[in-house]
Order: sequence, then structure tokens, then C-alpha cells
Amino acid sequence: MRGPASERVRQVLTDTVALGQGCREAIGNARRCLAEGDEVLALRMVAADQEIDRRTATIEAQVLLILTLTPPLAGDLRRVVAVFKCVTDLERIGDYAVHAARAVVGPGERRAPADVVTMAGHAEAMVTGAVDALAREDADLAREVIRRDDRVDRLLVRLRRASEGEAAGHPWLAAARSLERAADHAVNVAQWAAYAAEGERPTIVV
Amino acid sequence: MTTHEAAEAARLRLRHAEAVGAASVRTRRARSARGYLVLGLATVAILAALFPLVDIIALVTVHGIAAMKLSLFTTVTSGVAGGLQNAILGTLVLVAGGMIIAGPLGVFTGIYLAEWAEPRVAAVLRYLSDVLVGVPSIVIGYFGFAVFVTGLGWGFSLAAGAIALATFMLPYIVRTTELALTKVPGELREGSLALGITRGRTIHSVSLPVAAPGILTGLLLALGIGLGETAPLIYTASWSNYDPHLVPTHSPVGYLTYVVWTFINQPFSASHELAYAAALLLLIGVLVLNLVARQLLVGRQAD
Amino acid sequence: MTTETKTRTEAVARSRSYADEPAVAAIAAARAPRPEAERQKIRVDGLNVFFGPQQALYDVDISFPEQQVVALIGPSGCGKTTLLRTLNRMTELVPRSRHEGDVRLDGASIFGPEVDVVDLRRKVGMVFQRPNPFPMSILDNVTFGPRRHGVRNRALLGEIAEQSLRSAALWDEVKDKLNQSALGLSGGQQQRLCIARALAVQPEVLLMDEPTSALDPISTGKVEDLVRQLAETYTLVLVTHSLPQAGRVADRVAFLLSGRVVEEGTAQAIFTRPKDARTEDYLTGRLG
Repeated sequence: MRGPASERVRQVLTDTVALGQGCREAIGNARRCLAEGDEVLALRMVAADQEIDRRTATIEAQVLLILTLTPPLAGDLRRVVAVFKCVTDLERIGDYAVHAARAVVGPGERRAPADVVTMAGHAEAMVTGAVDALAREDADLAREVIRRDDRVDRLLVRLRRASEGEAAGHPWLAAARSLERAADHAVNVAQWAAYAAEGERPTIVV
Repeated sequence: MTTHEAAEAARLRLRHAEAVGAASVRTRRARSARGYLVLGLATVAILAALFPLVDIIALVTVHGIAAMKLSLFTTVTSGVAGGLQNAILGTLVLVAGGMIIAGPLGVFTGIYLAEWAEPRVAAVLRYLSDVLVGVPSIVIGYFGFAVFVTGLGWGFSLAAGAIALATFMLPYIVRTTELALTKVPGELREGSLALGITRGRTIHSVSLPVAAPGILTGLLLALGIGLGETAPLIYTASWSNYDPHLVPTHSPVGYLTYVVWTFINQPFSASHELAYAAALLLLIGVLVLNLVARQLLVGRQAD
Repeated sequence: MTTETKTRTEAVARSRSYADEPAVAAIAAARAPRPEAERQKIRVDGLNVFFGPQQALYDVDISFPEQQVVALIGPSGCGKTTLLRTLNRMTELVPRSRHEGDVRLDGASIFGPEVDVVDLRRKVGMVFQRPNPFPMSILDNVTFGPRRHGVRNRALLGEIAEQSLRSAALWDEVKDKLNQSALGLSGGQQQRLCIARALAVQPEVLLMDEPTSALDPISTGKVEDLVRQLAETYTLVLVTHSLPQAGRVADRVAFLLSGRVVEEGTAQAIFTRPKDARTEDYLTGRLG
């Protein structure tokens, strides 16, 4: 793939990748919060997420402009479609990162159990991979990201079983669910990255 | 372009705009004067060109009207006086005869040139046609004399005169027909061919109807030319004081241009009157033909 | 449902490709060629076309399936008009034109010695870029073809005229003024008249050379709707400079460049996933 032909498409792709980096940072921060119990960081992430939301809206507006004035075809069409879908998922990843980190705020045990931190680590890796796949139009990397989702799902299942006994529900379960959803959205980003590169969305192997 | 380059370009533009504007203002007077000078020269030229035409028309009309009487149309010429009946009829018959020959021949040749001919053949034909236009009319008359009057032994005759006139009119008809056909938009032709219609039918049903006004105009103009010719007829139709006998050979015919040519030289005022009358008739004839041709062309174009 | 199967179900649900979505499948099915009718109406085999020393088409191999619209796209001078005009042998009107290779209509070569060019052009009709109605009445325009081919019966001619004008979506607009000059119609109406005129000789294939490039957007829309309707009966080949138009009306698209067919396929495949880099360049605007 030779990259976008149109300057506008190139710009919107660059902006989306930058947004993706922001989300990667957010997930990374979430992992640090969970690993170290850092309340302060968790609260600071809220402000950062507002920036992500704002940039998402800007990118959506740019895409609409491109579609109206210079409707693209072929590779550029796929990139624009991918971008339009990805920004929604990226914005959700930002949100879930904040939700997950919020678990360390408040009284009680502030460091998350190992499993949760591992999940966060996977999620971070997947977001990184998905954004890279989008930036480099690398379908193979995208497929790797998609395969990794299995591990996240299994960790969540394990956590659920572990919490089945407790009456009030495992306090970290909410965080784990948020991380799993963030990972799902990372999978979506990877799928659209693969579409932009090759023209087909890879199906998830169960 | 950097902002510095852009600013520099803008400065240059401003300077140039001022310079050109100022120059334009300065030379306004001179421009105006030049304009009037050219207008003056053009006016003088037009007047000089129109003067002979106006003079002719005035002269002929004034003298011609003075000489007009009904008897002109009913009496034949006798010697150097009398009427113009024979000349009028003679002109009509000769021109009609010429048209009968040159009309169809010219139109078909024009169609052939425009639609069917190979480029090289067409070029040769066109060249020959143009040469024919340039041949002096007296030479055509002589040709007619040599071939028909003496060569074939027809004597001074209607046929020889008609053929000589036809030779004269032919190239005009060929060229105007060809021109009218080439002006038919190619898209109309393509549209017809694409419907699966043969070349011949396309020419007949599409090209010719569209070119018709142009072709007719050409024919009328050729008619006008034929009306006014003397030289081709002098040695072929000669002259006759009698109404034309409608036999092709051994039948000299009178015609109006002969009257104009010879009678003006006679010392008799009666002859002069006839000459002017004949000239007026010819002038009216040419005028009417031109008007009709004009009307045809304009009328169709407004469609 | 256990947590494990719930997760798995969610994963399976998400894993369907978007092409499986019912709405998308319906659109794709509506445009897909009907398998039983996948006959090749016209087949072009190794076609090379020359105008004097200049070669305009190189080794063109392409098929035009029955009752489908194929759009020929490509930059100016790429040979798409030449290819179109070869299909009804209009290229022979250009002096010093010659060809190598073959074009077959319903299996029979159009260049065969026993082929009547005039009849070929009746079967393979053409509509041009700028409307070219004859300077006659609307009725005379439409019946021009049938009359010149020998139909004399007035009533039959009238029927043919009405049928053709209806097929061209023009009947309602002109039925009360059939005897008025065709030149009085608007550009879009004139073009539809030319289509009716071509339909009147009962063709099997309709060739259209940028039929809407001289028309305003509304007339363009009407003609495009007409093209899709006509595809139910006739086989259509359309040369167009407008990629959106090709997307709107064509079932298949062929991209030509410098006298060669670079790529050919369904409109959807070509426009979303062209295989050749040159096609990609043209579609994304890198090429003129």
C-alpha cells in the first residue's frame, strides 16, 4: 500500500493515529493506576479524556467534509471508512480506561489483583498494536491483535468465577469488565485497520 | 512560496498596475485620435467603393425608367430600334437552357465532391473547378464557337449558347453545393449512420434537406451570373431580331446584354433608350434574384 | 447461560463480516448478474485498432454480458471511445483505420464478409455525447430509422414511435407535440429523443458515449434512471468520465489506460478494492 493519495485523507489518518496514541496513553495510565493504586493519576485521567472526546468530534467533522466535497474511492475510501469507525471505538477506549482506573479511588485495597493488572497489560498492548496496524496499514499485525483478545476474555472468565462466591461482588470486577470492553474496542480498531489495508474485515476466530 | 516571496510578488504587482494604469491614461488622447483617423479612412474607402455602384444604379434607373414603355415587351427589335421582346425572351430561354444543363450537373458534382470523393480526386476536381472560374468569359465563348458552332456545325444556336452559359455557371454551382453540404454538422450524419442507415440514404434524407437552402442559394446566384453574361453568348448565340425559335441548332437568339453592349454605341437616341431599358431590366432581375436567395438563407437559419 | 458461553456468543456475534448484514446482502443481490443469463452478448478478442500509423487499442480482451451495464472509464485518450465505436464499426468511417483481432456479437464476428454493416448498426445502436436530433419533427425523428429500413405502415410506425418514446421516458412530455420541431426541446429531452430514436430500430445493444456530459444534473439523473431501466431489456455499454455515474449505473466497470484494458470487474470490486495500482491511482486522483 502506498499510503493515502489525497492530502485531506492523509491528514485525517494522521489525526486518528495521534488520537490512538492518546488512547494508548490512557490505557497505559489505567494500568499504572491499577498496579500502583495511584488515585491522583486516576483523577487526572478524567481531564485527559475530555481532550480525547473533543478530538474525536473534530475528526468526525473532517470525515464528513471529505465525503461531501471530495468523495473518495478505492484505498482512500477504505481509509476514510476505517477512520470514521475507529474514532468511535477509540473514544470508548478512552472512556473505559477512565472507568477502570476509577476502581482505585476510595477506601480499601488500592492495588488491583494480579489478574486485573495482567488484563490491563494485554489491553494496552492491544491498543498499541491496533493503532500501529492502522498507522502502518499492517493487516498481519491487526490479526495478531485480534487473536490476543482470547486471553483477555479468559482472564475475565476466571475473575468472574473467583467472585461468584462473594456476596457484594468483587470490587475489581467492574474494572475488569471495563478493561475487557476496552480490549473489544481495540479489536474493532484492528479489524478496520485490516479493512483499510486489504479491503476485508477479518472475522474473529473463536 | 514563502511570505517574503509573496510580499515581494504583491509589491511588484502593485507597481506594475500603477505603471500600466498611468500609461493608459497618458495615451488616451492619442488612442482616441488614432481611432478617429482610422474611422475617417474607412469611411472614405466605403464611399469610394460605393460610389460606382450608386452611380451605376442611379444612371441606369433614371435613363431606364425614362425609356420604359409597355411596347418594349411586345415589340421585337428591328434594326436598332423597336422593342425588347425578343431579347427578353431570348435571355430567359438561354439562361433556362444553361440552368437545365449546369444545375443538375453542378449539384451532383458538388454532392460527389462533398460526400463520396477520395481526397486526392476531390482536390483535383476542386482545382479544375477553380480554374474554370478564372477562365475569361470571352474564351468560353470562343470555345463554344470552335466546338459547337463550327466544329459540330450547329451554327449560331440556342444549344451552343446554352452550353456556353452552362460552362460559365457550372463551377459556381459545384462549389456552393459542396460548401453547403460540408456545413451540415457531422453529428447529424453520424446519428443517421449509427441507426443503421446507408450512406446514400443518409445523404438523401439528412444531408441534402439540411443543405438545401445553401444549394438553392447557389443556384440562384449562378442564375444571376448567367443573366449578366455577354461574351460567352456573342459567338455562340449571336443575335436575332426575332423571338427565339425553340430549336437547338441553327437558331441564333437575341439577349438583353447584347442590346446593352451594342446599342449604346449607336448614334441613335432610340437605341440608347433601348440600351438603358435593357440594362434596367437586367439590374432588376439580378436584384430580385439576390433578394430571393437572401430570404431563403435567412429564413431557414431562423428556424 | 454460563458466563463462558455468553462471552463466546458475543464473540461469534461480533465476528460476522459486515457483508453478511441483511441490508448489504440485499443490495448486492439486486445488482448481481443473474446466473442463468450470464451470456456474453459481445466478446472482444485480442483487438488492436490502428488509425494510419497510430495504434489506438492494444490487445483488448473484454466481454459484455447480456442485459448488464458495463461502464468504460479511464483518462482522456485512453481508448474507451475507440473501443465503443469499434463495436458498431463506426471506426471504419475514419480514413485509414484498420483493425486486428475480432469482435463477436452472439458468437458471430461482426467483421465477417457476409455481415451487413447497416444491419449491424441497427442491432447495435449508439447515443452520442451531444444530442444530435435531426431538424425535423419529433415524430419524424423517432420514425426516421424504421422508415428508412422499409417500414411503411403508418399505424405501425405510430406504435413504434409511442413505444420507443415511452421506453425513453419521454412520451408524456411530447405526446401532444409530436409534430413540433425536435430542435425546440431542451437538452435533456433532446438526448432522450435520441435514445428513443435509437430504440425505434429495435436494437439489442445500446452504446452510449458520455451521454450526459452535455446535460444539467436533473436531466443527467433522468437519463441515468433510464439507463438502469433499459438494462432490463438491452445490453448497454457506457463510456463515462464521471466515476460517481459509473458507480450509480454500472454493473461492471472496465478501466482503460493508453489503449489497454488494465482491469475489469464488478463496480463494487473495482471501486473499493482495485487490484492494479494504476486503477487505484486513477480512482484516487493521482492519475489525470
